[in-house]
Amino acid sequence: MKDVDGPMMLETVLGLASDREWHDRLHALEHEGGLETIAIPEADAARKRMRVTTDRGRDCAIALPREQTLTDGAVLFHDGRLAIVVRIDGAARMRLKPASVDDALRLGHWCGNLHWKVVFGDGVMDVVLDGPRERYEARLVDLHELASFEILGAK
Amino acid sequence: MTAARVGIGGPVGSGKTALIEAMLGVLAETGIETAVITNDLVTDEDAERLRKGGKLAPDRVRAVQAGACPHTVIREDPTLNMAAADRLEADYPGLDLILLESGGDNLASTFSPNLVDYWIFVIDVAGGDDIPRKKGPGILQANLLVINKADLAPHVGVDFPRMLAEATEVRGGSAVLPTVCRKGEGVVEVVEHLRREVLFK
Repeated sequence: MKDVDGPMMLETVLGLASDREWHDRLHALEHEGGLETIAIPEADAARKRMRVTTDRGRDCAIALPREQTLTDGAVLFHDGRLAIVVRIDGAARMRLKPASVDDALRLGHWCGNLHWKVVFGDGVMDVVLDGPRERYEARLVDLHELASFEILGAK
Repeated sequence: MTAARVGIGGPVGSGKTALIEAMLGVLAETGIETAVITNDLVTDEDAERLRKGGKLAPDRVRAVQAGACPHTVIREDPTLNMAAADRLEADYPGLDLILLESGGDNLASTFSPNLVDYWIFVIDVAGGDDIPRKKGPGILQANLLVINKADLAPHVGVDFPRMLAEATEVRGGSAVLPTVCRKGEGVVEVVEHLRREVLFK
């Protein structure tokens, strides 16, 4: 579905699907077939502008003000008959568990030099994967000689 | 609608400034209001070049000096460039596009999504046809890969169709466009691509 006049412009976040005021309205529209979703990879969620297609093939262009952020459930359009909501698709993660504090320092320094996005947990560090897991594991091969750590869930 | 922010990165000498120079004419003809931020190491060399080119009012070209590795100000801490872009938008409320040119860097160079909405990585055939096969993050992650100086291919022993095909393959089919920026070839296609993907006009 492509509008001959260009994409449907989505220029502001109206609210969140989880908010009470939006939940009921969206629920009703969903039953009437008026709810469309835009799936955005987690790695792209920080972007303010992008050309996207809804799950029903509608050609859209997101252009948010700098102070607004795309989050899971962000409502970008609603006119009573149609609503468009964002779904952020979480990226795969690779969990790393260092054996000691010394190993954790070495591991953190190494991953930092690789500019990897990480999320810290209790004694572990999750690397947010923006590409095949094998590519990330290959970068850790040489580190095994310098630090003791486990790659949890590794193939 | 705020101005789109588009990053342009790539190795030293690949043609980043030349691409901008060539794009400015096409953008003006299309009625797209543009400004540029250049990043050099410790000078304003690229900004001065664009100002002397006369295709933009001199004040629409701003310079940010990285003072260190160029990627530090487009990825690790892009604050200086974000502030410069904010100032441009405040000074020129009708802007459609701000081009942010990184200093010449290596194949690992990438832009923070907090700084730009879209980014182009520029390589050139004279740098070697093996560059796409090396799969640097700049090659893989850029929204658009431009391969410049296509006309030099026969002079440097490059099989250009193969280089294009390999670039497209390593990028999983994401956009790759050839250019000869000094002659203006392929530049209209780059601008058209930006209009569709990020300018929306």
